[in-house]
Amino acid sequence: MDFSIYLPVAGSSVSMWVLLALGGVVGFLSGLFGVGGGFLMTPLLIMIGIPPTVAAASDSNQIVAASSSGTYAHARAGSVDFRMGTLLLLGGLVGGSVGVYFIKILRALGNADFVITVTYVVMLGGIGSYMFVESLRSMRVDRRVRREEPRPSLYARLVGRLPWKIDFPRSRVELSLLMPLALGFLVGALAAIMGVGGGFIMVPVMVYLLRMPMHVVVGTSLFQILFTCVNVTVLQATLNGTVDFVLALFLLLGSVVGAQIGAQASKRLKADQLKILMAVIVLAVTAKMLLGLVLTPHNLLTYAGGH
Amino acid sequence: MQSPSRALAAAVLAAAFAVPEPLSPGVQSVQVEPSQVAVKMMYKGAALRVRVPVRDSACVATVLEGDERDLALKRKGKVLGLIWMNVGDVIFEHVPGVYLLRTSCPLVDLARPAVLEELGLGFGALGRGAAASDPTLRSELVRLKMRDGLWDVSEGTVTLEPGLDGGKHAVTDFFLPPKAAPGEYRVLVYVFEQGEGRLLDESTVQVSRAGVAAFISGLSLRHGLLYGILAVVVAAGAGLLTGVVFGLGGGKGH
Repeated sequence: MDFSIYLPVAGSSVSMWVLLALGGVVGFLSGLFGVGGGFLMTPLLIMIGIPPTVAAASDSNQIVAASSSGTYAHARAGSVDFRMGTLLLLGGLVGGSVGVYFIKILRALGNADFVITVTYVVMLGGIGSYMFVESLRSMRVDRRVRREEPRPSLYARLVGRLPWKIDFPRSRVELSLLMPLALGFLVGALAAIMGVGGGFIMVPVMVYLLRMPMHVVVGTSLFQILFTCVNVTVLQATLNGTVDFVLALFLLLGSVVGAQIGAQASKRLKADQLKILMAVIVLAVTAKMLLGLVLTPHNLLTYAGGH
Repeated sequence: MQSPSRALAAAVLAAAFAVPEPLSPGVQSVQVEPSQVAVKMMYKGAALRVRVPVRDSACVATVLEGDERDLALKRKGKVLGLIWMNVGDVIFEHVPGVYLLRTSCPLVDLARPAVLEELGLGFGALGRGAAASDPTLRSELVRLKMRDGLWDVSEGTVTLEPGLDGGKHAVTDFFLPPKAAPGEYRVLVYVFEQGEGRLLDESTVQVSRAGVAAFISGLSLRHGLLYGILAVVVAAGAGLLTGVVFGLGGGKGH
Protein backbone atom coordinates (compact mmCIF):
# COMPACT_ATOMS: atom_id res chain seq x y z
CA MET A 1 0.00 0.00 0.00
CA ASP A 2 1.27 3.44 -0.89
CA PHE A 3 1.57 5.77 2.09
CA SER A 4 2.47 8.99 0.32
CA ILE A 5 1.66 12.28 1.95
CA TYR A 6 1.28 15.70 0.32
CA LEU A 7 3.47 18.43 1.81
CA PRO A 8 1.44 21.65 1.48
CA VAL A 9 4.31 24.15 1.77
CA ALA A 10 6.96 22.10 -0.05
CA GLY A 11 4.35 21.37 -2.75
CA SER A 12 5.31 17.75 -3.34
CA SER A 13 4.28 14.25 -2.34
CA VAL A 14 6.66 11.95 -0.43
CA SER A 15 6.43 8.48 1.14
CA MET A 16 5.68 8.64 4.87
CA TRP A 17 8.06 5.71 5.48
CA VAL A 18 10.95 7.57 3.87
CA LEU A 19 10.34 10.58 6.15
CA LEU A 20 9.98 8.42 9.27
CA ALA A 21 13.19 6.54 8.42
CA LEU A 22 15.15 9.74 7.73
CA GLY A 23 13.90 11.23 11.00
CA GLY A 24 14.79 8.05 12.90
CA VAL A 25 18.35 7.84 11.61
CA VAL A 26 19.18 11.52 12.07
CA GLY A 27 17.40 11.58 15.47
CA PHE A 28 19.53 8.63 16.58
CA LEU A 29 22.71 10.51 15.64
CA SER A 30 21.36 13.60 17.39
CA GLY A 31 20.77 11.72 20.65
CA LEU A 32 24.08 9.91 20.34
CA PHE A 33 26.38 12.84 19.61
CA GLY A 34 24.44 15.92 20.70
CA VAL A 35 24.27 17.39 17.21
CA GLY A 36 21.15 18.73 15.53
CA GLY A 37 21.84 16.72 12.39
CA GLY A 38 20.97 19.54 9.99
CA PHE A 39 24.20 19.01 8.10
CA LEU A 40 22.95 15.48 7.24
CA MET A 41 19.18 15.94 7.07
CA THR A 42 18.97 18.97 4.77
CA PRO A 43 21.00 17.41 1.91
CA LEU A 44 18.98 14.17 2.29
CA LEU A 45 15.69 16.07 2.03
CA ILE A 46 16.91 17.90 -1.07
CA MET A 47 17.83 14.50 -2.55
CA ILE A 48 14.23 13.28 -2.20
CA GLY A 49 12.93 16.36 -4.01
CA ILE A 50 12.13 18.89 -1.27
CA PRO A 51 12.94 22.49 -2.33
CA PRO A 52 16.19 23.55 -0.57
CA THR A 53 14.69 26.52 1.30
CA VAL A 54 11.82 24.39 2.66
CA ALA A 55 14.22 21.54 3.54
CA ALA A 56 16.45 23.79 5.67
CA ALA A 57 13.56 25.57 7.45
CA SER A 58 11.49 22.44 8.14
CA ASP A 59 14.58 20.63 9.38
CA SER A 60 14.97 23.31 12.07
CA ASN A 61 11.38 22.59 13.11
CA GLN A 62 12.00 18.86 13.49
CA ILE A 63 15.26 19.48 15.37
CA VAL A 64 13.14 21.28 18.01
CA ALA A 65 11.43 17.93 18.64
CA ALA A 66 14.58 15.78 18.55
CA SER A 67 16.57 18.17 20.76
CA SER A 68 13.76 18.63 23.32
CA SER A 69 13.38 14.86 23.50
CA GLY A 70 17.16 14.41 23.81
CA THR A 71 17.54 17.28 26.30
CA TYR A 72 14.81 15.78 28.49
CA ALA A 73 16.50 12.36 28.46
CA HIS A 74 19.90 13.85 29.28
CA ALA A 75 18.45 16.20 31.93
CA ARG A 76 16.91 13.22 33.75
CA ALA A 77 20.32 11.58 33.73
CA GLY A 78 21.86 14.79 35.15
CA SER A 79 24.01 15.35 32.07
CA VAL A 80 22.89 18.85 31.07
CA ASP A 81 24.92 21.82 32.30
CA PHE A 82 22.19 24.48 32.17
CA ARG A 83 24.52 27.25 33.40
CA MET A 84 27.11 26.59 30.71
CA GLY A 85 24.42 26.03 28.07
CA THR A 86 22.72 29.35 28.84
CA LEU A 87 26.00 31.30 28.58
CA LEU A 88 26.89 29.58 25.30
CA LEU A 89 23.41 30.32 24.01
CA LEU A 90 23.68 34.02 24.88
CA GLY A 91 27.02 34.28 23.11
CA GLY A 92 25.60 32.27 20.20
CA LEU A 93 22.61 34.57 19.70
CA VAL A 94 24.86 37.63 19.44
CA GLY A 95 27.37 35.74 17.24
CA GLY A 96 24.55 34.50 14.99
CA SER A 97 23.33 38.05 14.39
CA VAL A 98 26.87 39.23 13.58
CA GLY A 99 27.30 36.25 11.21
CA VAL A 100 24.06 37.09 9.39
CA TYR A 101 25.23 40.68 8.81
CA PHE A 102 28.65 39.44 7.71
CA ILE A 103 27.00 37.22 5.08
CA LYS A 104 24.82 40.12 3.96
CA ILE A 105 27.95 42.20 3.31
CA LEU A 106 29.63 39.30 1.49
CA ARG A 107 26.54 38.78 -0.69
CA ALA A 108 26.65 42.45 -1.63
CA LEU A 109 30.32 42.01 -2.57
CA GLY A 110 29.39 38.92 -4.61
CA ASN A 111 31.63 36.26 -3.06
CA ALA A 112 29.45 34.88 -0.26
CA ASP A 113 29.06 31.41 -1.77
CA PHE A 114 32.81 30.93 -2.03
CA VAL A 115 33.38 31.98 1.59
CA ILE A 116 30.53 29.76 2.83
CA THR A 117 31.79 26.71 0.93
CA VAL A 118 35.41 27.13 1.98
CA THR A 119 34.42 27.78 5.63
CA TYR A 120 32.23 24.67 5.60
CA VAL A 121 34.89 22.35 4.20
CA VAL A 122 37.73 23.77 6.32
CA MET A 123 35.67 23.63 9.53
CA LEU A 124 34.28 20.15 8.91
CA GLY A 125 37.60 18.74 7.70
CA GLY A 126 39.62 20.39 10.47
CA ILE A 127 37.28 19.40 13.28
CA GLY A 128 36.78 15.86 11.97
CA SER A 129 40.51 15.24 11.51
CA TYR A 130 41.44 16.66 14.91
CA MET A 131 38.74 14.66 16.72
CA PHE A 132 39.74 11.48 14.90
CA VAL A 133 43.47 11.77 15.65
CA GLU A 134 42.93 12.93 19.23
CA SER A 135 40.44 10.17 20.05
CA LEU A 136 42.68 7.53 18.51
CA ARG A 137 45.64 8.77 20.56
CA SER A 138 43.54 8.91 23.69
CA MET A 139 42.27 5.34 23.19
CA ARG A 140 45.86 4.09 22.79
CA VAL A 141 47.01 5.93 25.91
CA ASP A 142 44.11 4.46 27.89
CA ARG A 143 45.35 0.98 27.15
CA ARG A 144 48.72 1.74 28.76
CA VAL A 145 49.21 2.85 32.36
CA ARG A 146 49.25 6.63 32.62
CA ARG A 147 52.53 7.38 34.36
CA GLU A 148 52.14 11.03 35.22
CA GLU A 149 49.75 13.93 34.78
CA PRO A 150 50.81 16.03 31.78
CA ARG A 151 51.98 19.58 32.40
CA PRO A 152 49.17 22.15 31.77
CA SER A 153 49.28 23.42 28.18
CA LEU A 154 49.80 27.05 27.18
CA TYR A 155 46.07 27.24 26.36
CA ALA A 156 45.16 25.95 29.85
CA ARG A 157 47.49 28.46 31.49
CA LEU A 158 46.06 31.37 29.45
CA VAL A 159 42.47 30.35 30.21
CA GLY A 160 43.39 30.02 33.89
CA ARG A 161 44.44 33.69 34.00
CA LEU A 162 41.10 35.06 32.71
CA PRO A 163 38.95 37.01 35.22
CA TRP A 164 35.38 36.42 36.49
CA LYS A 165 35.77 32.73 37.17
CA ILE A 166 32.66 30.77 38.04
CA ASP A 167 32.10 27.16 38.94
CA PHE A 168 30.28 24.76 36.61
CA PRO A 169 29.63 21.78 38.92
CA ARG A 170 27.87 19.64 36.29
CA SER A 171 30.85 19.98 33.95
CA ARG A 172 33.31 19.77 36.85
CA VAL A 173 35.23 22.82 35.58
CA GLU A 174 35.93 26.31 36.86
CA LEU A 175 36.15 28.82 34.05
CA SER A 176 35.97 32.52 33.32
CA LEU A 177 32.50 33.73 32.38
CA LEU A 178 34.13 35.11 29.21
CA MET A 179 35.02 31.67 27.84
CA PRO A 180 31.52 30.25 27.13
CA LEU A 181 30.31 33.69 26.03
CA ALA A 182 33.19 34.16 23.56
CA LEU A 183 33.10 30.59 22.25
CA GLY A 184 29.30 30.72 21.96
CA PHE A 185 29.72 33.92 19.94
CA LEU A 186 32.29 32.27 17.66
CA VAL A 187 30.21 29.15 17.03
CA GLY A 188 27.06 31.25 16.52
CA ALA A 189 28.83 33.40 13.93
CA LEU A 190 30.25 30.37 12.09
CA ALA A 191 26.89 28.58 12.17
CA ALA A 192 25.15 31.63 10.71
CA ILE A 193 27.78 31.91 7.96
CA MET A 194 27.40 28.24 7.06
CA GLY A 195 23.61 28.21 7.52
CA VAL A 196 23.60 25.30 9.99
CA GLY A 197 22.70 24.82 13.66
CA GLY A 198 26.32 24.53 14.71
CA GLY A 199 26.12 21.38 16.85
CA PHE A 200 29.00 19.72 15.08
CA ILE A 201 31.21 22.75 15.86
CA MET A 202 29.86 23.25 19.38
CA VAL A 203 30.53 19.67 20.49
CA PRO A 204 34.30 19.79 19.77
CA VAL A 205 34.46 23.30 21.28
CA MET A 206 32.93 21.99 24.53
CA VAL A 207 35.18 18.94 24.59
CA TYR A 208 38.51 20.52 23.68
CA LEU A 209 38.23 24.20 24.62
CA LEU A 210 35.85 24.10 27.60
CA ARG A 211 37.17 20.69 28.76
CA MET A 212 33.69 19.39 29.59
CA PRO A 213 33.06 15.64 30.05
CA MET A 214 31.68 14.07 26.86
CA HIS A 215 28.36 12.94 28.35
CA VAL A 216 27.62 16.42 29.71
CA VAL A 217 28.66 17.87 26.34
CA VAL A 218 25.98 15.88 24.47
CA GLY A 219 23.13 16.95 26.77
CA THR A 220 24.27 20.57 27.00
CA SER A 221 24.73 20.84 23.25
CA LEU A 222 21.17 19.56 22.69
CA PHE A 223 19.85 22.09 25.22
CA GLN A 224 21.52 24.90 23.32
CA ILE A 225 20.44 23.58 19.89
CA LEU A 226 16.82 23.43 21.10
CA PHE A 227 16.66 27.19 21.66
CA THR A 228 18.63 28.02 18.51
CA CYS A 229 16.19 25.99 16.39
CA VAL A 230 13.10 27.46 18.10
CA ASN A 231 14.39 30.87 17.07
CA VAL A 232 15.18 29.80 13.49
CA THR A 233 11.81 28.05 13.01
CA VAL A 234 9.77 31.05 14.12
CA LEU A 235 11.89 33.44 12.03
CA GLN A 236 11.70 31.25 8.91
CA ALA A 237 7.92 30.83 9.27
CA THR A 238 7.41 34.56 9.78
CA LEU A 239 9.81 36.00 7.22
CA ASN A 240 9.98 33.37 4.47
CA GLY A 241 6.98 31.05 4.95
CA THR A 242 9.22 28.05 4.23
CA VAL A 243 8.43 25.81 7.24
CA ASP A 244 6.45 22.75 6.11
CA PHE A 245 4.82 21.53 9.28
CA VAL A 246 3.63 18.25 7.75
CA LEU A 247 7.16 17.45 6.60
CA ALA A 248 8.54 18.36 10.04
CA LEU A 249 5.83 16.30 11.77
CA PHE A 250 6.74 13.04 10.00
CA LEU A 251 10.45 13.69 10.45
CA LEU A 252 9.99 14.43 14.13
CA LEU A 253 7.89 11.30 14.71
CA GLY A 254 10.93 9.34 13.60
CA SER A 255 13.51 11.59 15.19
CA VAL A 256 12.09 11.73 18.74
CA VAL A 257 12.20 7.95 18.93
CA GLY A 258 15.63 7.87 17.29
CA ALA A 259 16.89 10.54 19.72
CA GLN A 260 15.83 8.46 22.71
CA ILE A 261 17.55 5.35 21.37
CA GLY A 262 20.61 7.48 20.56
CA ALA A 263 20.68 8.91 24.10
CA GLN A 264 20.54 5.36 25.54
CA ALA A 265 23.32 4.23 23.19
CA SER A 266 25.51 7.21 24.08
CA LYS A 267 25.45 6.10 27.71
CA ARG A 268 26.71 2.65 26.76
CA LEU A 269 29.62 3.93 24.69
CA LYS A 270 32.88 5.31 26.09
CA ALA A 271 33.66 8.99 25.51
CA ASP A 272 36.50 8.20 23.10
CA GLN A 273 34.33 5.81 21.14
CA LEU A 274 31.67 8.51 20.81
CA LYS A 275 34.24 11.06 19.69
CA ILE A 276 35.81 8.80 17.09
CA LEU A 277 32.39 7.82 15.70
CA MET A 278 31.40 11.44 15.35
CA ALA A 279 34.77 12.22 13.75
CA VAL A 280 34.16 9.50 11.15
CA ILE A 281 30.72 10.91 10.31
CA VAL A 282 32.03 14.48 10.06
CA LEU A 283 34.91 13.30 7.83
CA ALA A 284 32.49 11.32 5.62
CA VAL A 285 30.34 14.44 5.15
CA THR A 286 33.49 16.45 4.35
CA ALA A 287 34.57 13.87 1.77
CA LYS A 288 31.12 13.97 0.15
CA MET A 289 31.25 17.77 0.03
CA LEU A 290 34.73 17.73 -1.48
CA LEU A 291 33.62 15.28 -4.18
CA GLY A 292 30.61 17.51 -4.89
CA LEU A 293 32.96 20.46 -5.32
CA VAL A 294 35.48 18.73 -7.56
CA LEU A 295 33.35 16.44 -9.75
CA THR A 296 31.49 17.96 -12.71
CA PRO A 297 27.86 18.53 -11.60
CA HIS A 298 24.99 16.72 -13.33
CA ASN A 299 23.35 20.05 -14.08
CA LEU A 300 24.91 23.50 -14.39
CA LEU A 301 21.72 25.08 -13.05
CA THR A 302 20.26 24.55 -9.62
CA TYR A 303 17.42 25.89 -7.52
CA ALA A 304 18.46 28.55 -5.00
CA GLY A 305 18.52 27.99 -1.22
CA GLY A 306 19.55 25.34 1.31
CA HIS A 307 22.79 24.90 3.24
CA MET B 1 -18.96 20.51 -66.41
CA GLN B 2 -18.39 18.20 -63.41
CA SER B 3 -20.55 15.11 -63.13
CA PRO B 4 -22.65 14.73 -59.93
CA SER B 5 -20.75 11.60 -58.89
CA ARG B 6 -17.37 13.36 -59.27
CA ALA B 7 -18.64 16.32 -57.27
CA LEU B 8 -19.84 14.00 -54.52
CA ALA B 9 -16.51 12.15 -54.45
CA ALA B 10 -14.64 15.45 -54.26
CA ALA B 11 -16.85 16.61 -51.42
CA VAL B 12 -16.27 13.35 -49.50
CA LEU B 13 -12.51 13.58 -49.99
CA ALA B 14 -12.49 17.22 -48.96
CA ALA B 15 -14.47 16.39 -45.85
CA ALA B 16 -12.19 13.48 -45.03
CA PHE B 17 -9.00 15.54 -45.26
CA ALA B 18 -10.30 18.79 -43.89
CA VAL B 19 -9.20 19.88 -40.45
CA PRO B 20 -12.30 20.60 -38.43
CA GLU B 21 -13.09 24.23 -37.83
CA PRO B 22 -13.44 25.38 -34.26
CA LEU B 23 -16.94 25.19 -32.98
CA SER B 24 -18.95 28.36 -32.69
CA PRO B 25 -17.98 30.66 -29.77
CA GLY B 26 -19.17 29.36 -26.42
CA VAL B 27 -19.23 25.74 -27.58
CA GLN B 28 -16.17 23.85 -26.47
CA SER B 29 -15.10 20.75 -28.32
CA VAL B 30 -12.28 19.83 -25.89
CA GLN B 31 -13.32 17.77 -22.91
CA VAL B 32 -10.93 17.51 -19.97
CA GLU B 33 -11.64 15.02 -17.23
CA PRO B 34 -11.43 16.08 -14.46
CA SER B 35 -11.56 19.81 -15.09
CA GLN B 36 -10.98 20.54 -11.40
CA VAL B 37 -8.34 18.89 -9.21
CA ALA B 38 -8.46 19.10 -5.41
CA VAL B 39 -5.05 18.83 -3.75
CA LYS B 40 -5.62 17.12 -0.41
CA MET B 41 -3.25 15.48 2.06
CA MET B 42 -3.12 12.17 0.20
CA TYR B 43 -2.64 13.84 -3.20
CA LYS B 44 -0.09 12.06 -5.38
CA GLY B 45 -0.61 13.93 -8.64
CA ALA B 46 -3.59 13.81 -11.00
CA ALA B 47 -4.38 11.80 -14.13
CA LEU B 48 -6.13 13.95 -16.75
CA ARG B 49 -7.80 12.76 -19.96
CA VAL B 50 -8.28 15.15 -22.86
CA ARG B 51 -10.73 14.20 -25.60
CA VAL B 52 -11.44 16.18 -28.76
CA PRO B 53 -13.20 15.32 -32.06
CA VAL B 54 -10.86 15.32 -35.08
CA ARG B 55 -10.58 14.02 -38.61
CA ASP B 56 -8.80 10.73 -39.21
CA SER B 57 -6.04 12.25 -41.25
CA ALA B 58 -5.00 15.01 -38.89
CA CYS B 59 -1.95 14.80 -36.67
CA VAL B 60 -2.77 16.11 -33.22
CA ALA B 61 -0.62 17.79 -30.57
CA THR B 62 -2.00 18.39 -27.09
CA VAL B 63 -0.33 20.65 -24.54
CA LEU B 64 -0.88 20.96 -20.81
CA GLU B 65 0.71 24.21 -19.70
CA GLY B 66 1.01 25.98 -16.33
CA ASP B 67 1.33 29.66 -15.53
CA GLU B 68 4.32 31.50 -16.99
CA ARG B 69 6.62 33.10 -14.43
CA ASP B 70 10.17 34.37 -14.21
CA LEU B 71 12.44 31.66 -12.83
CA ALA B 72 15.65 32.52 -10.93
CA LEU B 73 18.25 29.77 -10.77
CA LYS B 74 21.85 29.48 -9.58
CA ARG B 75 24.47 28.83 -12.19
CA LYS B 76 27.42 26.57 -11.35
CA GLY B 77 30.87 27.29 -12.67
CA LYS B 78 34.49 26.43 -11.96
CA VAL B 79 36.34 28.64 -9.50
CA LEU B 80 40.15 28.68 -9.55
CA GLY B 81 39.94 26.02 -12.26
CA LEU B 82 39.17 23.34 -9.68
CA ILE B 83 36.06 23.87 -7.57
CA TRP B 84 32.49 23.72 -8.91
CA MET B 85 30.22 26.13 -7.11
CA ASN B 86 27.44 28.68 -7.61
CA VAL B 87 28.91 31.57 -9.57
CA GLY B 88 25.85 33.68 -10.29
CA ASP B 89 22.12 33.96 -10.84
CA VAL B 90 20.34 33.14 -14.08
CA ILE B 91 16.84 34.44 -14.77
CA PHE B 92 14.59 32.85 -17.36
CA GLU B 93 11.60 35.06 -18.19
CA HIS B 94 8.06 33.79 -18.83
CA VAL B 95 8.80 30.14 -18.12
CA PRO B 96 5.79 27.82 -17.71
CA GLY B 97 5.89 25.87 -14.45
CA VAL B 98 4.54 22.82 -16.28
CA TYR B 99 4.84 22.01 -19.98
CA LEU B 100 3.66 18.59 -21.14
CA LEU B 101 3.39 18.04 -24.90
CA ARG B 102 1.83 14.91 -26.38
CA THR B 103 1.54 14.21 -30.11
CA SER B 104 -0.09 11.57 -32.29
CA CYS B 105 2.72 11.70 -34.88
CA PRO B 106 6.49 12.19 -34.53
CA LEU B 107 7.34 15.87 -34.03
CA VAL B 108 9.28 16.00 -37.31
CA ASP B 109 6.16 14.87 -39.18
CA LEU B 110 3.93 17.58 -37.70
CA ALA B 111 5.51 20.61 -39.34
CA ARG B 112 8.78 22.41 -39.91
CA PRO B 113 10.55 23.66 -36.73
CA ALA B 114 9.73 27.26 -37.69
CA VAL B 115 6.00 26.43 -37.81
CA LEU B 116 6.17 24.67 -34.44
CA GLU B 117 8.01 27.61 -32.92
CA GLU B 118 5.46 30.03 -34.33
CA LEU B 119 2.71 28.02 -32.65
CA GLY B 120 4.75 27.96 -29.42
CA LEU B 121 5.17 24.18 -29.50
CA GLY B 122 8.19 22.34 -28.11
CA PHE B 123 10.89 23.25 -25.60
CA GLY B 124 12.51 25.63 -28.09
CA ALA B 125 9.56 28.00 -27.81
CA LEU B 126 9.59 28.24 -24.01
CA GLY B 127 10.97 31.16 -22.03
CA ARG B 128 12.30 34.56 -22.98
CA GLY B 129 15.23 36.78 -22.17
CA ALA B 130 19.01 36.46 -22.50
CA ALA B 131 19.23 33.17 -20.55
CA ALA B 132 16.56 31.49 -22.69
CA SER B 133 18.41 32.38 -25.89
CA ASP B 134 21.64 30.76 -24.63
CA PRO B 135 21.53 27.16 -26.00
CA THR B 136 23.61 25.71 -23.12
CA LEU B 137 21.52 27.34 -20.40
CA ARG B 138 18.29 26.43 -22.20
CA SER B 139 19.30 22.77 -22.44
CA GLU B 140 20.25 22.74 -18.74
CA LEU B 141 16.87 24.28 -17.86
CA VAL B 142 15.08 21.61 -19.90
CA ARG B 143 17.04 18.84 -18.13
CA LEU B 144 16.26 20.35 -14.71
CA LYS B 145 12.54 20.59 -15.47
CA MET B 146 12.39 17.12 -17.05
CA ARG B 147 14.11 15.64 -13.97
CA ASP B 148 11.25 17.01 -11.85
CA GLY B 149 8.67 15.64 -14.30
CA LEU B 150 7.38 19.16 -14.96
CA TRP B 151 8.37 19.36 -18.62
CA ASP B 152 8.03 16.51 -21.06
CA VAL B 153 7.51 15.79 -24.75
CA SER B 154 6.07 12.43 -25.72
CA GLU B 155 5.47 11.40 -29.33
CA GLY B 156 2.81 8.94 -30.45
CA THR B 157 0.88 9.19 -27.20
CA VAL B 158 -2.24 10.85 -28.60
CA THR B 159 -4.54 8.07 -29.79
CA LEU B 160 -7.49 8.22 -32.16
CA GLU B 161 -10.58 6.47 -30.82
CA PRO B 162 -14.14 6.18 -32.13
CA GLY B 163 -16.44 8.69 -30.49
CA LEU B 164 -20.08 8.26 -29.54
CA ASP B 165 -21.03 10.60 -32.40
CA GLY B 166 -19.56 8.15 -34.94
CA GLY B 167 -16.52 10.32 -35.64
CA LYS B 168 -12.97 10.07 -34.38
CA HIS B 169 -11.75 11.52 -31.12
CA ALA B 170 -8.14 12.31 -30.24
CA VAL B 171 -7.53 11.11 -26.71
CA THR B 172 -4.57 12.24 -24.61
CA ASP B 173 -3.66 11.13 -21.10
CA PHE B 174 -1.60 13.42 -18.91
CA PHE B 175 -0.19 12.89 -15.46
CA LEU B 176 0.11 16.14 -13.55
CA PRO B 177 2.93 15.54 -11.04
CA PRO B 178 2.41 16.48 -7.36
CA LYS B 179 5.19 19.04 -7.71
CA ALA B 180 3.03 21.04 -10.14
CA ALA B 181 1.91 24.16 -8.28
CA PRO B 182 -1.81 24.81 -7.71
CA GLY B 183 -3.29 27.24 -10.24
CA GLU B 184 -4.96 27.30 -13.61
CA TYR B 185 -3.59 25.04 -16.32
CA ARG B 186 -4.30 25.48 -20.02
CA VAL B 187 -5.05 22.56 -22.30
CA LEU B 188 -4.30 23.41 -25.93
CA VAL B 189 -5.11 21.15 -28.86
CA TYR B 190 -3.41 21.71 -32.23
CA VAL B 191 -4.10 19.95 -35.50
CA PHE B 192 -1.63 19.53 -38.35
CA GLU B 193 -2.09 18.63 -41.96
CA GLN B 194 0.31 18.86 -44.87
CA GLY B 195 2.89 20.66 -42.78
CA GLU B 196 0.49 23.34 -41.59
CA GLY B 197 -0.94 23.53 -38.12
CA ARG B 198 -3.31 25.61 -36.06
CA LEU B 199 -4.86 25.79 -32.65
CA LEU B 200 -8.07 23.78 -32.76
CA ASP B 201 -9.41 24.53 -29.32
CA GLU B 202 -8.41 25.06 -25.72
CA SER B 203 -9.70 24.51 -22.23
CA THR B 204 -8.54 24.89 -18.65
CA VAL B 205 -7.99 22.74 -15.57
CA GLN B 206 -8.19 24.29 -12.13
CA VAL B 207 -5.83 22.80 -9.52
CA SER B 208 -6.39 24.03 -5.98
CA ARG B 209 -5.53 22.96 -2.45
CA ALA B 210 -8.42 21.71 -0.35
CA GLY B 211 -9.11 20.56 3.20
CA VAL B 212 -6.20 20.31 5.66
CA ALA B 213 -3.62 21.03 2.92
CA ALA B 214 -5.37 24.33 2.11
CA PHE B 215 -5.68 25.20 5.82
CA ILE B 216 -1.96 24.60 6.55
CA SER B 217 -0.81 26.40 3.42
CA GLY B 218 -3.13 29.35 4.12
CA LEU B 219 -2.01 29.61 7.75
CA SER B 220 1.64 29.57 6.66
CA LEU B 221 1.06 32.31 4.10
CA ARG B 222 -1.25 34.61 6.06
CA HIS B 223 -0.27 34.06 9.72
CA GLY B 224 3.42 33.17 9.62
CA LEU B 225 4.17 34.06 13.24
CA LEU B 226 1.26 32.04 14.64
CA TYR B 227 2.14 29.16 12.31
CA GLY B 228 5.78 29.23 13.46
CA ILE B 229 4.83 29.29 17.15
CA LEU B 230 2.36 26.41 16.69
CA ALA B 231 4.98 24.40 14.78
CA VAL B 232 7.46 24.90 17.62
CA VAL B 233 4.92 24.08 20.36
CA VAL B 234 3.84 20.85 18.64
CA ALA B 235 7.45 19.82 17.96
CA ALA B 236 8.62 20.55 21.53
CA GLY B 237 5.51 18.86 22.96
CA ALA B 238 6.06 15.74 20.86
CA GLY B 239 9.71 15.65 21.89
CA LEU B 240 8.95 16.01 25.60
CA LEU B 241 6.09 13.50 25.44
CA THR B 242 8.37 10.92 23.84
CA GLY B 243 10.98 11.69 26.47
CA VAL B 244 8.43 11.07 29.24
CA VAL B 245 7.17 7.83 27.61
CA PHE B 246 10.69 6.48 27.15
CA GLY B 247 11.61 7.68 30.63
CA LEU B 248 8.69 5.80 32.19
CA GLY B 249 9.70 2.65 30.35
CA GLY B 250 13.31 2.96 31.38
CA GLY B 251 12.90 3.67 35.11
CA LYS B 252 15.34 6.43 36.08
CA GLY B 253 16.53 6.96 32.54
CA HIS B 254 20.05 6.04 31.72
